[in-house]
Amino acid sequence: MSALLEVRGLKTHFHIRAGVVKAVDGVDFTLNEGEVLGLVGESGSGKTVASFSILGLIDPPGRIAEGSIRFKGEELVGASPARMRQLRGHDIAMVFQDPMMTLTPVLKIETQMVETVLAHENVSRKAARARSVEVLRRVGIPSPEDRIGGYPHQFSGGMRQRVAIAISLLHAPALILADEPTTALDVTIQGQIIAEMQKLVVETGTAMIWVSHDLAVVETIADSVAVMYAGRIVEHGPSGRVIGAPAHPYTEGLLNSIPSRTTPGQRLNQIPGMAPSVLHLPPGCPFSPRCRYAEPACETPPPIASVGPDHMARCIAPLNAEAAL
Amino acid sequence: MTVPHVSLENVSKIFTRKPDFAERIAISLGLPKPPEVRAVDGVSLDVAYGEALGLVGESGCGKSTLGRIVAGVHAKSAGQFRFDGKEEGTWTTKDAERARLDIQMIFQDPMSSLNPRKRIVDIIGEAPVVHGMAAARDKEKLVGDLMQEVGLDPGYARRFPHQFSGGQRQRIGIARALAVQPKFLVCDESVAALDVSIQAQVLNLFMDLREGRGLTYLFISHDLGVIEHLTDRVAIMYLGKIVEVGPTAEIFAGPAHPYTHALLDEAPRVGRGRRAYIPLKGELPSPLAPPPGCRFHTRCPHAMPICSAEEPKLDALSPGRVAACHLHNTTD
Repeated sequence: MSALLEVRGLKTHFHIRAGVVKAVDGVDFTLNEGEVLGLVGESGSGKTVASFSILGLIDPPGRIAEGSIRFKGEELVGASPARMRQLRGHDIAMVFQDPMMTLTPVLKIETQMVETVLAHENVSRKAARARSVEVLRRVGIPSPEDRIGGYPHQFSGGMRQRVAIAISLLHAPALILADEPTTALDVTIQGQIIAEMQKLVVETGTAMIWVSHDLAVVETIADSVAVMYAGRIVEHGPSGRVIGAPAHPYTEGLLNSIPSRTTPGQRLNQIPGMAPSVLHLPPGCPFSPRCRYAEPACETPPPIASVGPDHMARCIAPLNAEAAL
Repeated sequence: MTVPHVSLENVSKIFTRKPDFAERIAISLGLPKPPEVRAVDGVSLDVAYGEALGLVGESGCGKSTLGRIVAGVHAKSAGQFRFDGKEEGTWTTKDAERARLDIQMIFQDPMSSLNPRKRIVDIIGEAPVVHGMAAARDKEKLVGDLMQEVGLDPGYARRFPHQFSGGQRQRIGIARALAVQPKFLVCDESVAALDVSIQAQVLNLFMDLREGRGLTYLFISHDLGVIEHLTDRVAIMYLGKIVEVGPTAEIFAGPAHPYTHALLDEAPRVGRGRRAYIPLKGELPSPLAPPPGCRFHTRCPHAMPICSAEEPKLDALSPGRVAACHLHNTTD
């Protein structure tokens, strides 16, 4: 497997009146072809900004301050807007949380899908429409020949998300960024969408970054998991390891906060306090003020270090570390 | 048998649209009336003193409407509502006031349920002063105590809602509800908008309050993990009807209704690992035109001919446990 996407030292900062918001502050990861990475974090951890940075969707006052994003060896930081337009939707596609954000309410699904095909390829309208119908069928929309003539408001939330996924698949992209694609959906519909995505990823060999706050959803779909806190990845590893034997106290705290893991009726082992403002990060490890294992040495920023095979954590005293390492 | 804290009998809520001028003419000429939505359709449910009852279902199943009927936000269209054993129709003004104060509601989105132009001290302190539970001069102290109880710094009492984070705002909403010394809290998706670590803090607060104040809870949520953790009994709703009720532990161990089974099966849970999904087919039918017979039969993997013809009744399966499904109908 070769690296499809290499992100090195990515820093995306927002310059606002109150100061510099370091939304993403040094993120590194590598994604192989066909790999599914779960990017987990709470609101404000920088997970969405990180994925928007990959697509070049950061608008002023935000900008990529430092770092490199290599997609199939090509540098995306500083690439021309024209080149990014070529890549977006063709090689890298995105599925957003709210499908109403990707679909315009005033155009038919058909118009929107055909337009997406024609933006990247010189084919006839008829061929573009045929392909659109085909992908709609693949994502499980019943009688796609008829439904393609409908407007977004005629579709339910789950069906709209299927349309959004279908649009992302039109050009068989090498990478799909999915930003909380099931968060707005009901449990049974979420199950349908996850099943659909699992199937599609295997069928097409597409790599995917699944951004979510829900560790349980991520575990069902991802090969590896990266946990973000205050703009940095604090733990990254195979999903079984990260969730089964977390190395970073924050990951452990997140897992302990999930009600179904504690005996019903017992107090949850909560993380005290709340996420720090990215404008005023505490010195050293940003998690240390909430960490129950904090020690004086935490006042210097910890480097990211290996804690097991393919498993890294940004903590000076990682939990569950393998003795051999 | 002891009197339940809150008891619903055959409660329905029908939402209709008022016909406009042209439609009124059309109706008078014999055309059909605009469609009505039966958001809640003949629901009977008891909540005992000190109990935490969970209400689970997908969007549009009527769980929020039912919660609002209990909290007095919506008036019911039909059926009987009893509080402390007294039916709503027989309430005196005093009974009504007591019921409305005793049952308080905590909403999903704390930002849209707090007045952005008011200071916290007024948001929390207004109701007890209006209702004569506290003198105006004691307001600051009362608010300070309440803020302490829900884990907020009383020094922030003069601030406005926008100066707080989502989790803190939810605590303000809880303090406001507690200010009138309620006995019964209706929590409508009260932790759904919060991050996992903050959600855990608020859930702990709910559990502490239950112990400290002996509250009764009606906890409405789509998150099965939260329900399993917090409640003693659970009721599952589908398209305006209750399909299963029973002790939470029993239902989570062995659901009787196929819909409950599907819900539990599909909720992603940490620790199950990567797995293939066998999702439930189809979507929730429109409540404007619910399917005949059992409302779940269009999506049910066990559907039989009888399911589309006859509506199943809630049958007792074991003490305290009922389900509305023809699979369990042993009487005929």
